[in-house]
Amino acid sequence: MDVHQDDQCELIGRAQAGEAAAFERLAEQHAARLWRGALALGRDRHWAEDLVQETLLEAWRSLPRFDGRCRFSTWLYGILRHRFLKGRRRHDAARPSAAAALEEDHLAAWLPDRCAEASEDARRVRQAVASLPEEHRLVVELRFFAGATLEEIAAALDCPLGTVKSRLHHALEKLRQMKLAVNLFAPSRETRESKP
Amino acid sequence: MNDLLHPCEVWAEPISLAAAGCLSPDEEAEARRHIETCPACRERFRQLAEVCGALAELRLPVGDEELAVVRRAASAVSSGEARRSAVEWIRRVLGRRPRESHGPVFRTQRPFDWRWIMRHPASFASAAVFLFVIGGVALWFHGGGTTPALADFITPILEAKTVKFKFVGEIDGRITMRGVVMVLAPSRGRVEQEEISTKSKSVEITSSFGGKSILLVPDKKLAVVNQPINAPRDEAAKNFLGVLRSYLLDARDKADVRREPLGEKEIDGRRAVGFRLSGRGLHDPGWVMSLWGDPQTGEPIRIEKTDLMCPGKKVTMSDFVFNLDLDESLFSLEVPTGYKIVNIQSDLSLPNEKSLIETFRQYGRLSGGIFPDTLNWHLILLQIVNQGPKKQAVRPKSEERQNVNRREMKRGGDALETLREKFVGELGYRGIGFAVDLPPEADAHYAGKGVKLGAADTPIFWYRPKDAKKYRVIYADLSVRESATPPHVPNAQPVPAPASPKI
Repeated sequence: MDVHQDDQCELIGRAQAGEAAAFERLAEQHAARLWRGALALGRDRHWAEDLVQETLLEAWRSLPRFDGRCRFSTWLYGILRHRFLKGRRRHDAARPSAAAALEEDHLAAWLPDRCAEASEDARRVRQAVASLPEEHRLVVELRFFAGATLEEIAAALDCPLGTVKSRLHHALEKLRQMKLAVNLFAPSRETRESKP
Repeated sequence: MNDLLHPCEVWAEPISLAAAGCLSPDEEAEARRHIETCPACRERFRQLAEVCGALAELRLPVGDEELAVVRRAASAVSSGEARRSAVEWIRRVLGRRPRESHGPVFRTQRPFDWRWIMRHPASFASAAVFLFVIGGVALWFHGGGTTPALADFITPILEAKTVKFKFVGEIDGRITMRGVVMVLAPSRGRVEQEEISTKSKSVEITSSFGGKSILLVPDKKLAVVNQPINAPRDEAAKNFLGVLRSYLLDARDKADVRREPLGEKEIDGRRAVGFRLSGRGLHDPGWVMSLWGDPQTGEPIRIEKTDLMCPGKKVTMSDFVFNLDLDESLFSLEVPTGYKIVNIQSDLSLPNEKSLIETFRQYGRLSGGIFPDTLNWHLILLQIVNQGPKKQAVRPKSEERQNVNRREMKRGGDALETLREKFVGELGYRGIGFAVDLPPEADAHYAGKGVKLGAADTPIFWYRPKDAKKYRVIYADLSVRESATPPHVPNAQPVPAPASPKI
């Protein structure tokens, strides 16, 4: 979602002054990005809801300290990362058996409704991403599944921008190699049909 | 060859980032200039672009439902409390025993108790209370109509400007709540209630079904303001008189309302004639009701009602008074000054198959990957609330590990408790409600007892949608397939379970 910067600056100022409606409007503007980021990190719908809630709560409390040196969405991703890391181990520990059950097909658990409708190609792509080392997987998921910018990813993963670029490059290179090895990412139907 | 490739390695990362759409216009222009002059990099870029194209197609969808999550969270946060904090605070001020601060097996702790469930704004919403009890009043007038003419009863109830009666709530024969209901026609209601175990008193005031309601806890100066979402669009369903009419019409016209005479007995010194009715209501998955009334006046003396979703729960209504003077101020939705306000939103949309699947999924998370033994909401709640899951977390061995684990478990308990709250308050109720609300012709059955979540090709629930020729079969991996015939599973339970009222 494109956010008009002036409008956003004004909203931030009003929210910093304690205006609830301005904060709700800000959250509305960043709702899709925040939800995607939370789901990409949490990989669980209900944890994503918790992450969204906790992130907004912390954002509301910390808003007076937001100094505008980065984009608001980047700042929000930083808080999201903080909540994610804080809850990660406990979240996994909280459901040892269920986690194991869901882990067998965590992608289906991740997007239950859509996954059933997804094509076989989509499933294979998801599986390929899931097979990446975590540091690479997270970058790919945040970039492509959540639509985050590199700056937001850096904030979410608490690492330098250069590291994010490097990880994304290596992750894409691995996926490209998989594609070459097993034709994992089949060209789209249009592309196939256009070839002689 | 390595010598030839070496200069291109400088471009490897920019090309990847270009394919991913992560370069500035200037950076991308520079990378593309190299790509145009280098066949190897051009091919690599093409392959990466395909990879990125495939990945981009998997962008996570964000629909109204997801956006609503963020809106609700933002609203809750900016109104003073996050939802979970609010619920925890509600529980705390209502006198719930503090949860243990540590303990390795948090999943067996009792995060809720019944008084909390009965108090939970979403699970025991004010509108639901009114529908529950008022449905009984309306049906009394039909059931009693077997003595006088039905029209004799319809007229007074439709013309009544106010109604007041007492009610007592029981769970498994134990009285948990009691109070007084007041209705100001057409749509305003007030419930003054007391929770027996804690002697906690509260007042619920509602404007209409699907409309704003407030729950006031005077002792604690707490006000829970509920602004429901996805309320039915049917205007008749939005006011109590409309609901009463619907019940009356259902009772008069629907063939599936069963009526059995219960004979006569004396209640509070009055001779009463009884009937047992069973059927389905406008917002009621299915009910069984015993009605006792005065054959001389046609007025109800006592109504006892259970519903199929929660068979252990019973509400008894008595001391009915019609057209009494009720001050409008009793129904004011204004929060008194000095009250702490907690805002919530409950979802009133009709549940569907997805709701049931979600219920199964979340129950599995709470239970350690198994399905409930039965689709009896009461029993499910008992298991979730009182007994915890069947599987327990592994105890840590070393002292140090144990301390770390305790802290993690406590935090993990918070997350799991949040899920429990959601399950009890909405997720579970909606899914089970969908299942038990299916009509008999749906031929719904449940076979999840003892089945593990994820077991492939194991049917756990099936039903035939209205006007459909094929069955919809939900499997233990929560996939859904259609079948011309129902699965053959020995000991599959019919849903809803045949009623066996004890009232």
